[in-house]
Amino acid sequence: MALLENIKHLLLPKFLKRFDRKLILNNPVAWSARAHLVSWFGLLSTCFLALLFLIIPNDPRHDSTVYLPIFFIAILSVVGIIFYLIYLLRFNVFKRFGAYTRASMLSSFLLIFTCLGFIISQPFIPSIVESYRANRAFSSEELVKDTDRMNFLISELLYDSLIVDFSRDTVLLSNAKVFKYCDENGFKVENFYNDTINICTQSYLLNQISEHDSVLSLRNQTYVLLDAPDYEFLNCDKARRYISKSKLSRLERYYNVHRSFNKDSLSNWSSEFKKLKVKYASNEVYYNTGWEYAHTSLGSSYLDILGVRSIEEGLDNISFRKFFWYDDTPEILFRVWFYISLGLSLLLFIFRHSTTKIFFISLLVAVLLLMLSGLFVAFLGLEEIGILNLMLFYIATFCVLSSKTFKSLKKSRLTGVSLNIFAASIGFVPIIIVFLYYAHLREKYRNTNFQIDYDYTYFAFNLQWAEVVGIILLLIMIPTFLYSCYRKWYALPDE
Amino acid sequence: MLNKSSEIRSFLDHGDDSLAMRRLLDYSLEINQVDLLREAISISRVFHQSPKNIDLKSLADALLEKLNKVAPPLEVNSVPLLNVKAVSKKYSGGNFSLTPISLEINTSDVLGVVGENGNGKTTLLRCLAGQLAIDSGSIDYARIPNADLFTIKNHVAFIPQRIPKWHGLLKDNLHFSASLAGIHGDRNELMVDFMLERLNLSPYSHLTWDKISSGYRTRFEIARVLLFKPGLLILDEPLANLDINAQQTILTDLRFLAKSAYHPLGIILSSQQLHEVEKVADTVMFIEQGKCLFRTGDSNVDSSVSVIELETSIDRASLVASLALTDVQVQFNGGFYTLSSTVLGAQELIHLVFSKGIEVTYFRDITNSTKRYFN
Repeated sequence: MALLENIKHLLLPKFLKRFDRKLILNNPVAWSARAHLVSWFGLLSTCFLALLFLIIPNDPRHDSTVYLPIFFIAILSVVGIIFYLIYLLRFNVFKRFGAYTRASMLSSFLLIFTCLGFIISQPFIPSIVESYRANRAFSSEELVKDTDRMNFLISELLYDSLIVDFSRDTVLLSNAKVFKYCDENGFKVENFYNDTINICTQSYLLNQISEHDSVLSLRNQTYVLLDAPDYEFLNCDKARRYISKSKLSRLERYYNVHRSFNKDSLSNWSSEFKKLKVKYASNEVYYNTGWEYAHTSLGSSYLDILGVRSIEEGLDNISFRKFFWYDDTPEILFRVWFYISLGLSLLLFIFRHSTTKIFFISLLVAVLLLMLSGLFVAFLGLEEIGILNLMLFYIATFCVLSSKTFKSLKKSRLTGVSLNIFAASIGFVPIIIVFLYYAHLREKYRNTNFQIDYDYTYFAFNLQWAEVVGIILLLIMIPTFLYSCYRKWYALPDE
Repeated sequence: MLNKSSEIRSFLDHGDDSLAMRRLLDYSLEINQVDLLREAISISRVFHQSPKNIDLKSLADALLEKLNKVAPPLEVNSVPLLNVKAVSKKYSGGNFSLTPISLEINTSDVLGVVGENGNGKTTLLRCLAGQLAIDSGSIDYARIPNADLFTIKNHVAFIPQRIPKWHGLLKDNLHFSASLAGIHGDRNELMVDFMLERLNLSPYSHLTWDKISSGYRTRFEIARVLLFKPGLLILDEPLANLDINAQQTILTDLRFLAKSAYHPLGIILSSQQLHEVEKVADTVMFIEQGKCLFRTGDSNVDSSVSVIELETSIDRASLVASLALTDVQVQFNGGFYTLSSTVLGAQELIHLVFSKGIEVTYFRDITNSTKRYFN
């Protein structure tokens, strides 16, 4: 610890030492949360890691090499959290019966959450830097342009081996009632197929015509849907989506390749392709079983001649890095970050407002309750609704038991444990309610066999709102109910 | 206030420099002028760093002149602090019980609680500090009526016999404690410096808990608690880890602090050091088997019996033989002889011992001391 203290003093600038001094003299709640120190060392760590991963060679065309460093940084973050916890144990305004207002309790929680969030965010840095480097190395416009060009060049260089015939699909328009059946989840599905020929409704046919390259009416109610062979061997759809540039259609590519073919240009095209290959090819190629079937317009062996597989691998790696922080990934990672930070903050919050003994008893009770509930659920055969109701019942019970603190004359283990578990779970009540609502909807649908307005996107939207409401509820409960309960309970005399 | 000034000068004249310095600091704090308090602190610093190279008398005189020019602080009026009525406590898992005890504490009062080990001193103190639930009776914290328990615990400071470990630098802990009490900014720095000098802790303030002795830990804990400005200070065996000089210093300091015009407080302390406690306490309670057996000032004290304790080089048989044919009862507790008489007064008893030619190495009149109740 002495060594750490020395390192701390070495790394602390004068202004921060002055600020630290100011805080201890004026704001013990903020000082004891150590947010200023965590922020500073977090910033140093962020800068160091960012610089390190900017310097370390990292070719965006090759497989990512950040997983191992992320693992080690995650371990260091855990160590950092442990040290932070030790520091937090040192000074506690609440347990010293100091001037601790409702706002103090709320700000204390928020500061702890911020600090833990800062520490927990460290393992994300290598990935962020890697993404930044990939974006710096390859712009989306460049990727789209080069990919389109490479598709053209591959087609021209392997022109003799290209499949030229359109594929065809015959459909029969039917006025008869289309056969329907229920799938395993109970949803009704229209089936347009029989063994030999596709049978479809008019609306389906119109939809198919819009999606196919051409259509031929053979005789009344019989149609042939035609598709040009696809000369797209490489794609970078993510980059295209982000620059909002539509690509040529299958048919346009087809005509473009055939109309542009010129034997005299082959040598130029070949050298141009080689340059692009050097630019994009990865040196690590993994063979997957889907490769042989991926490009039906040209055999995989032909593509291997040009080394397309390595280019595809390189493009995949670049796209993966470039767009790692887009789409659903940030939301998932945000949730991971948020809930780890929240969970640890709640544990710390409870620890700082409860006695050590009751804190650990609470953990034990929570684990035991989980195990017993598991057995209970298994024996009674409870399903989703039953489990969710059980959770709400537990939270309500702990709430009632916690409020008994107000009338207690002695520090009771039961009220202490209830208060701790209630504090840990109150923020999740809206989420449980949303799950319960949708479980009821599904149950209703299953029982009545009617289609109801069940939309997963809408569910995700409601879930997000429930998460936000849960946090707001927690932030409201901390300075109100939890403050009053903890203040009363902690000051009560022992039995 | 001239008395205080004269008192300090008297200490200086008789070479009691350390005591004079402490009282000078107290006086400066009571006057409550920041610049004068700073000056007192700086004199104290120099005094503690090189006591032989400082002309303390002239520096103190100069400061006293300035202090005497400032309007003196108001006299301390003793106001009720704690009113305890018939408090009892029985542990669920044991045979021990505290039978109803009543007491009152005012500001500036020092109450000593004495008794043998395991007789309920700590239980009583913990009940008074709100740490243990009482079975019956009432505890009224008169200065903070209708306050919740959290506020009461803010008002009452309890120093247990085994002081929990401090983390971090000792000085940071003191600043933190002062800050908790609402002492912010420069005032915080000043009060911490004052407390460090007042309890002579400055040389250790940059250290950590593990690097100081248990005696200094007690003193730092007292400093921390005093910075928290409690109305009532309860100390459980504070002298246990202190050497004899430190015991005297701490006890007199506690008495001075209790009667300070700056922040008068009530003090309850338990101890085995009967004579030391009796010297500073306004009231002493003797507890045996959870019962208050004796309290100084109570009318039920049997003052008809004079008691002295003594040590002698002669054996017990010779002592008894020497005192035969007198009214004197002789008891031996393994360390001292206790001589009691219903006829002779304490002084006459002592005179008798000497007149019999008994070689005495130590004696003390314990007629009005709780010591007489220790067997």
